[in-house]
Amino acid sequence: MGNGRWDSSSWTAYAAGTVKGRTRSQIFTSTDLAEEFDPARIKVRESRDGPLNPAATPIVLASDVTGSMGEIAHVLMRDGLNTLATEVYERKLGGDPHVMVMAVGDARTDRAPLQATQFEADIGLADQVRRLYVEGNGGANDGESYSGAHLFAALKTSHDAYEVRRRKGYLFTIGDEPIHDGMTRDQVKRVLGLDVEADISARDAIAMASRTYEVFHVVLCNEGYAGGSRAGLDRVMRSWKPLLPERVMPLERVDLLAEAVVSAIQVAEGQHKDAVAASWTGKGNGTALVVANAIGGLAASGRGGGVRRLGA
Amino acid sequence: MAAARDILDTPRSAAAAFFAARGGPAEGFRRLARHWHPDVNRDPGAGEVFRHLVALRVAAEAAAGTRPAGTVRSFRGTDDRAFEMRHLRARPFDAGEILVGRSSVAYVVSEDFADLAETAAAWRPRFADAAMRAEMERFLPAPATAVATTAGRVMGYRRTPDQILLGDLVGHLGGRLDPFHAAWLASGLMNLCCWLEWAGLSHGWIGPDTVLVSPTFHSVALTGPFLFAAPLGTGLAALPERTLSVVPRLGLPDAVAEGATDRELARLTVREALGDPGGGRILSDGSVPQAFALWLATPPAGDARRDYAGWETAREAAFGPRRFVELKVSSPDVYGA
Repeated sequence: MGNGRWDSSSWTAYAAGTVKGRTRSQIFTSTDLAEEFDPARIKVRESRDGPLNPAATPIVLASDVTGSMGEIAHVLMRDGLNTLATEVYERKLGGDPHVMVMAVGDARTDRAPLQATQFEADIGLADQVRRLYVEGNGGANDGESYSGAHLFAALKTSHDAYEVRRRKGYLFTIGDEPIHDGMTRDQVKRVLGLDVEADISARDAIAMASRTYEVFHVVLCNEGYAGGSRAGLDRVMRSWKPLLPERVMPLERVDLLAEAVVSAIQVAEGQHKDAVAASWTGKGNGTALVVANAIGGLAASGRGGGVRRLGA
Repeated sequence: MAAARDILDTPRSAAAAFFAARGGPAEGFRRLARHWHPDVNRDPGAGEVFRHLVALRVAAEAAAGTRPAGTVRSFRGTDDRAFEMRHLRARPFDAGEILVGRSSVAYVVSEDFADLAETAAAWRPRFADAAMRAEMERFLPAPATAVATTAGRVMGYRRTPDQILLGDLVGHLGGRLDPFHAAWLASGLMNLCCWLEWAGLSHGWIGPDTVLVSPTFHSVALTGPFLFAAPLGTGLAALPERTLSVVPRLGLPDAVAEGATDRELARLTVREALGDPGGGRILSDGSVPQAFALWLATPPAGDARRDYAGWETAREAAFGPRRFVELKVSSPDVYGA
């Protein structure tokens, strides 16, 4: 998929007719997992180069939709997806964005612990996101199954960015909770429809996704589990940081998710963090500061080929 | 003796006639080279004349059909001695250039990485006993030569006539190895990974530039300098970007050498040979048996021996009992000689 090209005016028209003035429950009306988004039924999601997108760059936003986290999907629909695609083009981040949205839940308790849209380059994505099932459940068990998103990216996506140009895509998991330690064999079978030999730890799932994606996690530090108490946020950070050192982004405002994601891509592509944060100055209401805090702990990906000298 | 201007003014198209008057290309070149070689001729233009003489000899031999296959690369040692290497194929690698010759593979390691080459030149494989040596030594050639030159450290490794550098083989096959043959590649790489872990080493550079395969014997050897090797559990001096890309955690400040890295690289090498470095496509398009594709996609499990056992299970599920199927490609097919 991904044969179109992003057009901001199409988004504005779509949002005016479908999103503006509506509540989350009015936008997301699905009451069950749709077959088209069921990872167990999906063979593969592809991001391919084409005439309109000669350098397709896959960007995966895997959002927690348990509990209050359905708000993330709402934010993406209000303007987040438009901001993301528009800024990637305007900031010339080296590719044509092909965006996939995943809805992440809890493989231990949810009916739909993972859903995945197609990779899309145009307004078709918005309609798919609207049809995702925002289950809003979660297990109240100190974690979500974010590993499902990592495994889906590793095992059920295929993209020209890597296969043709050896450029990785971008994968952002987004949420307020710690990460469950991977998925059991049975969960992988049930959620992804694959027979693996053994349970897969969260570390291994991230390692698998990291082969073809730059992997990040956005902690919504003022929302839900993380926002409830200092101890909650500490638990979330202790869960994620060892798994994704230099790739965890604490985000203070969920409405600036797209700006944070775009900025992380810029840093990964070698731009200086201070300059990236400063580029949001004038966008209003403390955007630059929030972005600076979100990307402060990131390291560049160090791509470029050749030999890299290390510490020893 | 021909004057410099006579030699330099002779076009390559007239090389055969030029040497015909001097006893043929081999004899004529030998006589003239004895006079014009810059090692013996102090004329500042001698180097230019000698280079043109070499070009004329190549052209004359080609015209006569007597030219040995390959291209000659000249080196000058830091001790000022000159030598040549005739190679059939040249390919760049992250730290220099690889020259594949008739009976050797030379790695010309750039001066920027002289420190890594220095350590690698001293490396020799070790074995627990004679049985292990007999089994493994042929897959782990030690450097046969290591010479410091003005072009960098030239490190030579033996190549048997049936062996082909993996990158050259896959390129010759149009970028994709048949899954059955990719399976014996995987077995050979896992065998090497078991030895590496036993030896307490992380190689860090298993891939198309360092793997020699024999289509005849289905054997897999690790060649080239151990530039990026490190004892397990110790810090890493340097790694190629390909390795860091597939195992990004190795780029962190406190990273240490891990045995799993080589097994991850073995999987990547096989996926690349199958034409799908990411591994997502072969899992879905049915071109590779599902058990094989899934093993390639999942991370190394446990230690190397356990991982090898897992591979054997996957291989059996994918292809059934072991059998030999000829891969009809030879070194001359790939290298032209």
